[in-house]
Amino acid sequence: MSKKEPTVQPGFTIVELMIAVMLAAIVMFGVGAMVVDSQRGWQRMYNHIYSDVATDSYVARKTFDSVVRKASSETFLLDAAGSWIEVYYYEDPNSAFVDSYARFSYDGIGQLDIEYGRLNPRQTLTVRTVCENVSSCVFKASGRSAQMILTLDDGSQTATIVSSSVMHNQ
Amino acid sequence: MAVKRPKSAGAFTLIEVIAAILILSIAVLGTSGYRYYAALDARKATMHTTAAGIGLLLCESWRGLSDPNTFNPDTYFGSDLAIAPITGFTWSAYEGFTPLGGYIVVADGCDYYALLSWKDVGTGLRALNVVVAWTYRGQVVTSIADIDKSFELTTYTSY
Repeated sequence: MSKKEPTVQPGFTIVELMIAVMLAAIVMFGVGAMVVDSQRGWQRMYNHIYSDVATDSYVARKTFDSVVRKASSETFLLDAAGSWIEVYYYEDPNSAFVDSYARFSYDGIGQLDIEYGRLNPRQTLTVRTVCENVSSCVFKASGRSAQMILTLDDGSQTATIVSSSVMHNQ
Repeated sequence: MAVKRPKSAGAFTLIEVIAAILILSIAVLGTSGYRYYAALDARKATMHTTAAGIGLLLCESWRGLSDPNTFNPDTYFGSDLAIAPITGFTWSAYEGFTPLGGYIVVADGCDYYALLSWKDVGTGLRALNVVVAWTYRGQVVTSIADIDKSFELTTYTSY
């Protein structure tokens, strides 16, 4: 009588499977943690540059600089509480008198506006919103320069900018 | 009669496992490296932008005054800007320039050191120089040698 040899089935034992699954889980957990952390870091950097607060503060600063820099230093109006400032400029480069005005105003409830208009007679041309999510905005002036201290807050991010510009024209 | 043992097949050798771990480690280290430098460069760029903004702010405010000698950023900005005179070290101005003062400006949690100096370059014409310097790691500055980076602006004003 010949003894039958045991048939060897290819496969893994339960112990091998458990060890393999455990190792795979550890590796996947590590990779997953790294991916999540990378995503958070990237999102943080992206928001730092492209969030509403960041872009609005950039637009507000550039608008304030460009308007004030072309304004006349002869005269300007400033609110006693600093909630608005009105500067005057030459719309027509051949004009001997200032013929236009721009008025920055903070409405106290989160919006910074700019109003453009003509003088003599005074006529409002356009009013547009510079930025929203404004938590505070104060205008100041000293000599030929005007300052804007603006704080933006959208609930998740806060930015404060202090901008100063010289009124270059006569 | 001896039972014939099945021939081992489909398993990894120790060398293969070590090689796999080595390759994985290199990949992880590489990923960590680029992430570290990406974050560091983003921080450096932000600090440079902030320093440029501080320099421009000081220049424009100083230039707007009818008498440039009266400019004192400490009292000029008051509580609107975290600014105070430098007390920890002395900072010399460029040759020929008269220092107006050195100041520490705190913005976004970092210290920026600003030196203001001026020079008369003609009758009624004055050059106003602002140097803004900072350190990348925020360490305490005890001498100008501790500074990592600086940004400089010069503007002219008639008086």
